[in-house]
Amino acid sequence: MHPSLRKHLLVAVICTMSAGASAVPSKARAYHTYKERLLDTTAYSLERREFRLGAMKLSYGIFKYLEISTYTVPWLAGLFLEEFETIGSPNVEFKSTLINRNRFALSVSVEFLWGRVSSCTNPMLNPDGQLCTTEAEFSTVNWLVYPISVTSSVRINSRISIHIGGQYTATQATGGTRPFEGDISGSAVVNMLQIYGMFEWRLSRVVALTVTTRWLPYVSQTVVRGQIVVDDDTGATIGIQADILDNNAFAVIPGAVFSWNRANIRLGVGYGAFFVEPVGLVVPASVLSSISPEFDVFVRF
Amino acid sequence: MLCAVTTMSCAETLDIPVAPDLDDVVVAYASPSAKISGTVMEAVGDELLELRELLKQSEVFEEILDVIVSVQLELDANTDESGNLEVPGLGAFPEPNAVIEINHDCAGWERNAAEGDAETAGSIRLTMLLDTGDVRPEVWGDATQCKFLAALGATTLQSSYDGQVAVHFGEEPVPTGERLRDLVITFVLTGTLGVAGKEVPIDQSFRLRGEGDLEILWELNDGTSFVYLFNLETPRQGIRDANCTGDEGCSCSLEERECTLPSGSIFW
Repeated sequence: MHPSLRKHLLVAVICTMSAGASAVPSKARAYHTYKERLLDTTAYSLERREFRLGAMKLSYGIFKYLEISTYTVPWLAGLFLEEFETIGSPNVEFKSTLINRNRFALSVSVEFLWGRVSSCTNPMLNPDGQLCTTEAEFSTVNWLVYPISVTSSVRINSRISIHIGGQYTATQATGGTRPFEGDISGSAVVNMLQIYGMFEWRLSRVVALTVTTRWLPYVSQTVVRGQIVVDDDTGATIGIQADILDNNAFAVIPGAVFSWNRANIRLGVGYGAFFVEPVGLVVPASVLSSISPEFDVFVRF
Repeated sequence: MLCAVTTMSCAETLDIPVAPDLDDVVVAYASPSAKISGTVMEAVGDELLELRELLKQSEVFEEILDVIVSVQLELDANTDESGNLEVPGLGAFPEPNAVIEINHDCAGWERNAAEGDAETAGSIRLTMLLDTGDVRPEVWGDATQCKFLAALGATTLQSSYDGQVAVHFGEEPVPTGERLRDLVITFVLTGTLGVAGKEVPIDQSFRLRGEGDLEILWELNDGTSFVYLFNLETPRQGIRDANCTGDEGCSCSLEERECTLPSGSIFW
């Protein structure tokens, strides 16, 4: 992405968040109340015309039970990493609370996330030897991720709620080199099912304690399909079988959500694999020494 | 231009095909069961001589081997020191199991043709498997009207092959960096072999042992078999049967119609 475009986008994101934080107060309040419910890992969504602007997620209530969101980190990655050819990793999520009656709520959410990264893998092809030009060899990867979630929430009493759901994430990545001169290219597919649950205990209208558990009972075998070009007369298709992620990855994350007039902070540190909410993917426990964090700070108005 | 494959993201599995079972053929080379006699050689000697010349002139084994080796080299070029197969953009896959479907357009009989054309020059399609990163020792497939030029001294001969192909490289999977041509390579061809305008049906196994040694497994009507061996570069030739074992076998000349066995010489 062009550096100036990257800078403008960064300014736009900051301005949007600042404007949101200083917006004219609406009737909506973010304290933990009967009406104002936790949004993450629950079946609840924003009210109509309600905003959520945060470090991790931006959301807007289109209708009473339909919100549209985008996760910020995939966008911000594009601001800081020059390898992105797309503007970060564009993503959009629709979440609808289909049922919200008495003590029970049920939601469905669908997300799309895609992106494209290209890095110079052989700068020696450039006569100058340093800068990557269009003549250099690039390694490129495109990805498309679409998680689908169903979540239910049950209010046991005014202080305690239980939230249980499942998320199926389909992922496809396509990689290769260009210019394409005798090499391997391919595409990978991996699908996974995540089951999650959250216990919520409201200590006050400001503080709610949570314990979130996530479990990955199913990960499809990763199948990479590609092409090998040897010369003009000889080529091959290749199908590679690989086990990238382990079944039964899990995380147990004690945390808390602090909610004031508009500001909210969500914190948690747990044990297990790191479940990356924006993309529905999982970082194996060994990568982060079995530390599984949760964090967000946002305003809701 | 980015050359990539796209697939829909649905639950995919990789079906690994079953390689042809060549164990019986390999065992037959190691333990030939036939007992050679003058009568036996009288019956098969001329046919064996004709097959030898056909294989020697057509170089069909070189045509097939070239294709396999070129793909193996490409795999090796994309395998790092730890044995990970690298797919640009998608990362490195440690010790992968893989199915490789090879397509080769044969060169045809036009020496100056820019490139092969499967419609007129035919093609070879082979299946190769990777077993935890190594090449499984069986490669198989078929050739469809594959036309190619074989060098015979200073001249070239128009060769062709149409039929099934099975190649065996030994008992163990072969690392991508290992020279395939250094191994004992067993071929089984079932089809039609052509050279210099002559086409002959073939249902035959033969194998390369390195340094130009080539062995033909000859099956007799009674189910037993023996091995005829010769060298592509030198006049050396011999026979291995139930009574004459060992890599070198016993001296035998098809042209002079004489074999020297442990029990004495036979003539036909």
